[in-house]
Amino acid sequence: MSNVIILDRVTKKYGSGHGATLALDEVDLAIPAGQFIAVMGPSGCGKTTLLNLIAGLDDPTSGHVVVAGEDLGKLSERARFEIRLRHIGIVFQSFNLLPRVSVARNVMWRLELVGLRGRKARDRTAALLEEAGVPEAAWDRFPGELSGGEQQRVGVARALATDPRILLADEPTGNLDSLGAKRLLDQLRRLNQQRRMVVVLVTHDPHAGIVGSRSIELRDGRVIRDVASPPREVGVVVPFERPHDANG
Amino acid sequence: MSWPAIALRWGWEQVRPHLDQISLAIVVIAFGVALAGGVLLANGTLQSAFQDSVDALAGRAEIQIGARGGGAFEEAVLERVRAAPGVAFAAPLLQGTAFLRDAKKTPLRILAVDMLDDASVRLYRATPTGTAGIDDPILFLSQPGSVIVPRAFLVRHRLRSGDSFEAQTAAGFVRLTIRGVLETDGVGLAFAGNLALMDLYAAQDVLGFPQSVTQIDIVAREGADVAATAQAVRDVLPDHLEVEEVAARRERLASSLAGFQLLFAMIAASSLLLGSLIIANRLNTTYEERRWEMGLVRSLGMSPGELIGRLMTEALIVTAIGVALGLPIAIAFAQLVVGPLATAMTLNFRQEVAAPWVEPQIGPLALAALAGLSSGLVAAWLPAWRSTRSRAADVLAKARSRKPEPESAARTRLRLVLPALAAATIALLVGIEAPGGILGGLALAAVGAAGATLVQPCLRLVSGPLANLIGGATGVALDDQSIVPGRALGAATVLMFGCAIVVFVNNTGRSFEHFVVDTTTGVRRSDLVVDSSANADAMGEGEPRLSEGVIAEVGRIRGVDVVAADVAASASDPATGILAVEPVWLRRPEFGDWRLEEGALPDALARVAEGEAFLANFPPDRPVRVGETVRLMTPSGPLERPVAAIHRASCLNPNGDVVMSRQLYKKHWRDPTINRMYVLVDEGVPAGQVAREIRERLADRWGLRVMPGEALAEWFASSVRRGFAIADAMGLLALLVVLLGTADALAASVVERTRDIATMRALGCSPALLRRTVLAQAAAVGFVGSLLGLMVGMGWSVAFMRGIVPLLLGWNARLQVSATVLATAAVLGILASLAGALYPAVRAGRIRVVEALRYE
Ligand SMILES: Nc1ncnc2c1ncn2[C@@H]1O[C@H](COP(=O)(O)OP(=O)(O)OP(=O)(O)O)[C@@H](O)[C@H]1O
Ligand SMILES: [Mg+2]
Repeated sequence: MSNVIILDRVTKKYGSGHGATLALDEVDLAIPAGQFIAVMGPSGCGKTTLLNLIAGLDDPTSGHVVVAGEDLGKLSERARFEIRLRHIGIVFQSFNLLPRVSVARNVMWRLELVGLRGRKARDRTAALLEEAGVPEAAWDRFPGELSGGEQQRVGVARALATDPRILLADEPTGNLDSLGAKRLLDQLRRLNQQRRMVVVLVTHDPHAGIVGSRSIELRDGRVIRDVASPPREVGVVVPFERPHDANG
Repeated sequence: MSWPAIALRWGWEQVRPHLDQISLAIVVIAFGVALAGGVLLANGTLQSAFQDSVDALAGRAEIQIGARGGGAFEEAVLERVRAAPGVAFAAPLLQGTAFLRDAKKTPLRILAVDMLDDASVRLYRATPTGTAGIDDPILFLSQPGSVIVPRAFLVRHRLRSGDSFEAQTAAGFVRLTIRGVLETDGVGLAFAGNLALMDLYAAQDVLGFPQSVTQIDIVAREGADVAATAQAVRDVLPDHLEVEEVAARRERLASSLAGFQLLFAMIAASSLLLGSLIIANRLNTTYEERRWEMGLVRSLGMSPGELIGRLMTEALIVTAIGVALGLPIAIAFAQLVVGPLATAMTLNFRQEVAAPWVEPQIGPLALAALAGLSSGLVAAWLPAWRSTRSRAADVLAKARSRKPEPESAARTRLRLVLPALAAATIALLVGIEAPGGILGGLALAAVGAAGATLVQPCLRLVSGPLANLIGGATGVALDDQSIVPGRALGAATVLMFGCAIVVFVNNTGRSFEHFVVDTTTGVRRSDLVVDSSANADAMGEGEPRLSEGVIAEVGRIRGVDVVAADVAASASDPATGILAVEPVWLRRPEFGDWRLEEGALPDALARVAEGEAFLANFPPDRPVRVGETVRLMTPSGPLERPVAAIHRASCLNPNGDVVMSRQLYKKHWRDPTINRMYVLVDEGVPAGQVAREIRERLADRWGLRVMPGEALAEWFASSVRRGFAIADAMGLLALLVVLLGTADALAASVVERTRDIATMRALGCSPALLRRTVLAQAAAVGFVGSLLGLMVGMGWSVAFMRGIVPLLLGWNARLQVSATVLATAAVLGILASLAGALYPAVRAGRIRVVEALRYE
C-alpha cells in the first residue's frame, strides 16, 4: 500500500441546521509516498479544514481519513498523538514558535517527546537547525529576535525533528516576502525529493502551486481540479548561500 | 429597542466569549473583597465592642477614682471625695466577675451601684427609681440576689424577667434573680450585654469584698473646672488612689489598645492589599489577554476614548458583581475570626471582650468594596490605556512577540547580597551574647527581602530536575515559566510569605508556650491542683477566683497533707507582676524549685514566707540586687521590702515580677481571693482517692475543678495556645490566599499561553502531558514557595525571639520548633498549590487546538 494519506468520501460540516457550513463535501483523495501536492483555491473553500483532518486535529463529519495505514477515526486519542508526533510535521503560516524559550529549545522539545535526551538531543537539534539554514548565532536567541524568514526555518526544523513521513504546511509563505517565500519552497521541494517525504502545501500563490508534482484545486469543499504537474524549477531560482549547501 | 436594552445587548455580546474568564474574575474579586472586608469588619466590630464597654461604663462621669494597679479600695474615702470643692456628686461602684453555669462559662460582669443613692441614679439611669423598669423596688433591695440585666442578656440566654439563674463567684455558686431589665442603651451596651447590675451592698457580700469599691465616679458642679476639681479630689486622697479625668482615661485606654490595634491594622491592611492585588492581577490578566483585540478594534476606527469607556463600563459591572457577592462572604468570614481575636484581646488586656455578633458596619465594608472596585478598575484601565496610547499597529505586533527581558546586573547583585546579609545577621543574632533590637529588626527585614529575591533563581534551579523527573517535553513549559515567571513568581512569592507567616506565628507561639509552662510549672509541683471550675480560657489575673475560705476546707479532707494557694495580681508605678503564695509553699521543698540565682540570702524563702522580704525577677533594664529595697504601689498604699533573692520562676509582667507571701498581699490588696490551690497528699494515700473526696464534698458548693498535678502543664500550655488562637485564623487565611494565588496565577499562565499550548498539541504533545506539565509547574511553585517559606519563617523566628522579644519583654525564651509543624506547613503549601493547579491543568488539556490556532 503506497498511499500515505487516503481521504475516503470525507465530509466536514460546521454547525448544524440552517446556519451550517459545508467545509468539505465528499472529498476523495489518495496521496502516495513521495508526492508534493499543492492545494489551492479561494478563501473559505476548505483548505485548512483538509489539513486539520489529515493531522487528526479534528474529526470528519462522515468518511474516513487514513494516515500511514491507520484509520484516524478508529484510533484512541493517545494513538493519534503518537501518529502526529512521529509521522506528521506541521509548518504554520504564523510560525507559532514558543516565544519564551530559545530557538534551540523550540526544536529540541519534540526530540525529547520521542525520548531523545541530553547530548544526542542537542546534536540532532544542531543538525536540524543547520540543515534548515538557521544561522548558528541565532540558536540561543529568542524567536522574537529573528526575522520572519528565519523564524519559519526554525518552524521547518521543528517540523522535521521527528523525521516525519508527512509535512503539512498551511500557507507557510503567507508571512514572508517573495525572496523568503522562494527559499522556503525550494527547501520543501528538496526535502520532498531527498527524503521522499509527502508534502501537502496549502497556498494562494499560483507560483508556489507549480512547485509541486501535483496540484489540486478546491472550491466550496469539493475537489474541482486534480492535475499532475511535471517537476519544474520555480520561475526565479535564488541561489542558497547556506554553507552546507555547497558540499551537500 | 430602547437604549438600555441595546447597551445591555452590546455588553453581553462583548462578555460572552470571555465568560469563563470573567466568571473566574468575579469569583476572585469576591474572595478578595471577602478577605479584606472580613478582617476589617472583625477589627471594627471588636474595636467598637471594646469602646462601647469603656464608654458605657463611664456613663456621664467626668472624673474617675480607682486604685493604682487595679483592685478594690476602702469605701470610706467616699465622704472625703464628696466634701471636695467642685464635686457635684460622687457614685461608688464595685465591679467584679462571675461566671454563668453554661458550657462556655460565659463571664458575667457584675456592676454594683448604690441603689439608694441619688448620684448613682443620675449617673447610670438604671436604678429602682430610674428608668430601668424595676418591677418592685422594695423587693429588689430586700432580696440579696436581685439583678438588673440588659435586654440582650435575656434574649441570648432565653430568660425572662423574674427568672433566676446560677452564677459562679469566688465564694461558689449564687442564685441571681432578674428583677429589672435595661433597655439597650447606656450601660446596657457594655460587655456585649453580659452584664448584671446589683446593689452595692449586696454585691460586696456576693463578691467577697466587704466595704470596698473598685471605682468612684464623679460629676463636677455646674460651671466648675473639671481639671481643678480632679486636682482638689487628688489633694484629699491618699497616694495609692488614682484620680483621672474620663477624657484622659479614654485616651489612655485607647493607647493601651494601640499596640494591639497596630497588629490588627497591619493584618487588615495586608488583607486589603492582598485582596486588591489578587483582584488587580485577575482583571489585568483578563484584559491584557484582549489587548490584541483592542488594537484591532482601534485600527478599525474606534476612538480611544470610546474603547476605554466601553472597557471600563464592562470592568465596572464585573467588579461590582464580584464585590456584591464578596460582601456577604466578608461578614461570614468576620464572624469566623472574631472569636479567636476576642480571646486574644481578652488575654492581652485582662479586660473581657466578649466575642460579639458581627453586624454589618458600613465603614469597613465600604472600604473593602471601594478597594475592590478601584483595584479592579485600575487593573482594567491599564491595558486599555496602554493599548490606546501606542499605535494600533504596534499593539497588534507586540501581542505576537513575547520575548523575555534580560535581568539587570543590579538585580543579580541583589540576589547575592541580600541572602548573604540575612545569613550574616542571623549568625550574629545567634552568636552574640545579648543582641540588640536593631540587629533583630534588620534581620527581620533582610530575611524577608532575601526570600523574595531568591524565588526566581530557585524556580529555575528546580525546573530542570523536575522536568527530568516528569520527562517528555515538560522541560519546555517549565523553562518557559522560570524565564518569564511573572505568574509563577507571583504564586511562589505569595506561597512563601504565607508559609513563612504560619511557621513564624507557630514557632513564636510554641516558644512562648514552652517558656511560660517551663517557668511556671517548675515551682508548682504537687499531687493535685484545685481551681475554679469556671476556668475556661484565661490565665493569671483574668482567671476566675476562689475565696480563701476554701483552703481550710480542702485542708480538712482526709489524706491531705498541705494545701498551698497562689494568686496573681499587679502593682503600679512601675507596673509589676505580683505572685502571692501561701507561706507554707515557700517552706516545703516538695513544691518545686524557685530557681534562685547565686547570691541569695541563705534564709531567703523563709524571710519571704514571714512577709519580711520579696523575691524579684526583673528584666535587665530594671536592675535590682539582693538586699536592695523594692517599692510597690498597692491599692492601700506603698509597700516596701528588701529583695531576699533573685528568682526565675515566674513570667507575669514583662516589667518584672515580685513574689511575696499571700498574707502580705491580702492585707495590702484587700483581696482575700486566690487563683489556685496546690495539694500534697499524705504518704501512701493515693491522690486519686483524695481527688474524689474533694469532688464529692466540696466541688459542687464551691464550683471546683480538681486535676492531677501533672495535668497543670497541659492546662497552662493550652491557655497560652488560646491566646495565640489568632495564629489559627492567620494560618487559615494564608492557606486560602495561597490556594487562590496559585490557582489564579497558573490559570492566567495557561490562558496567556493558549496559543503555545495549542501549538504543542498540534505538534504531538498529548493533553495528559500538558496536564502533567501544569501540575509540574505548580509542584515547582509549591516546592520553592514552601521551602523558602520555611527558611524565611525560621529566620524571622530567630530574629524575633533573639532580637525583639528580649528587648520588649525581657524574656530569654528559647526558640522551640516543631518538625511536625514545619513538615505540615510545607506539605500543605505544596498541596494548596497543586490543588490550585487542578483547574488550570484541566483547562490546559481541554484547549481546542483547531480553534486556538484558527485566530491568527
Ligand atoms: N470552527 C468553525 N466553525 C464554523 N465554521 C468554520 C469553522 N472552521 C471553518 N469554518 C468554515 O468552513 C469553511 C472552510 O474553512 P477553511 O478554514 O478550511 O477555509 P480555507 O480554505 O482554509 O480558507 P483561507 O484560504 O481563508 O484560509 C469556511 O466557510 C469557514 O467559514
Ligand atoms: Mg486556511
